[in-house]
Amino acid sequence: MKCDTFLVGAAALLATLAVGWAPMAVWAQTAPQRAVLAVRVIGASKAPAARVDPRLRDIERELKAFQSDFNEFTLVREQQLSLDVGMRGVVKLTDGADFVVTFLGLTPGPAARARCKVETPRNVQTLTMAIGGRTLDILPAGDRATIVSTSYER
Amino acid sequence: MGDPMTLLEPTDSAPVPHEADPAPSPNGLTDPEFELVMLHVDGELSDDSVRAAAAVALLEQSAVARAVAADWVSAKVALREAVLDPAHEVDLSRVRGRVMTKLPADVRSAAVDPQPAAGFGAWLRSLGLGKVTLAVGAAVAVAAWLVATAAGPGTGPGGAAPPAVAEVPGEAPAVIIEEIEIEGGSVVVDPGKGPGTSTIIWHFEAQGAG
Repeated sequence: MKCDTFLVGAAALLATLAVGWAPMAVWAQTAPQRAVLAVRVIGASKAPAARVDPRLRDIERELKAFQSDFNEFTLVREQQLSLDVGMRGVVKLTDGADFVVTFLGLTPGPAARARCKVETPRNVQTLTMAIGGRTLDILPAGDRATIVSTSYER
Repeated sequence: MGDPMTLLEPTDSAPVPHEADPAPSPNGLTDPEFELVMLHVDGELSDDSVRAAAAVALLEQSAVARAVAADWVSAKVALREAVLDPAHEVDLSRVRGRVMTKLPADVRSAAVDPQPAAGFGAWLRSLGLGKVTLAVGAAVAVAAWLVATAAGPGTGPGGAAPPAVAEVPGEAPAVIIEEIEIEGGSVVVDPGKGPGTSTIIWHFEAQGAG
């Protein structure tokens, strides 16, 4: 008798969980996906003395990869893009051209990655980024360059 | 550059000046002689009449030199037929591809975990791209992508602290470029040299492209 009661109770509990889980699963699949990306437009040039804008300290090491060509880095513009799936975020580059990021969605899995299409004046990339991931696009123009840092914040 | 086979024909020229008896290399020629033959076959001596005459004389006198030159010519022909000619037929007007996934598995693993001391050139040579390197070197780099494989310390833009790298599961890189679409040119991947370093993807625009 006790065993029957236990089984019935367990079955009821499982049924309740199943009923509750199904909508949750559906919600998880249909929940609006959003990515917040930080885009920084950086001017790079060759100067008599090396100088990195203090606001770029967190990527100074990466910028130094290009120190043979450029040693002065200045933050020109900083923009945070909060994008839903399919939305395009546009950031103006130093020459007025557009740097366009389209959020394509999150990849499936426990550690979702943001899948984005990035369009610069010279190329188009499709990439996925983990939170904290960052790319730098360098667009040389004569003795100067525009560098665009794109990072996936959340 | 003239036809290499024509240049191999013996002519009446000055004898080869022999310098201080350098040891012969495994191919039977001394290193200076071998270099002279290579330069001659490549047509690189057109501005150096003295060395050009010496090369011709060497080829006239030495059967070994002629054999080395013939081998080199064959290799150049094979390279042109097997690699360069097909490459010229490829339409690069709209290059589209998956850069990393196009690499063979063994190459990819080397790219992910390169020898710490290996430089860009050494890495390219390990891919068998030494010839490409020379071509690329003459081209114009129009863009590069630098991919941070790990978030750096400090705060991100807007004061938001970037999450720790540990949040990236396993060894998944922080950024995976699935596809790069460019208007012609070449793409070369310079992998990061270790944890926390960056991978640089170079896009070289062909000479004369706009």
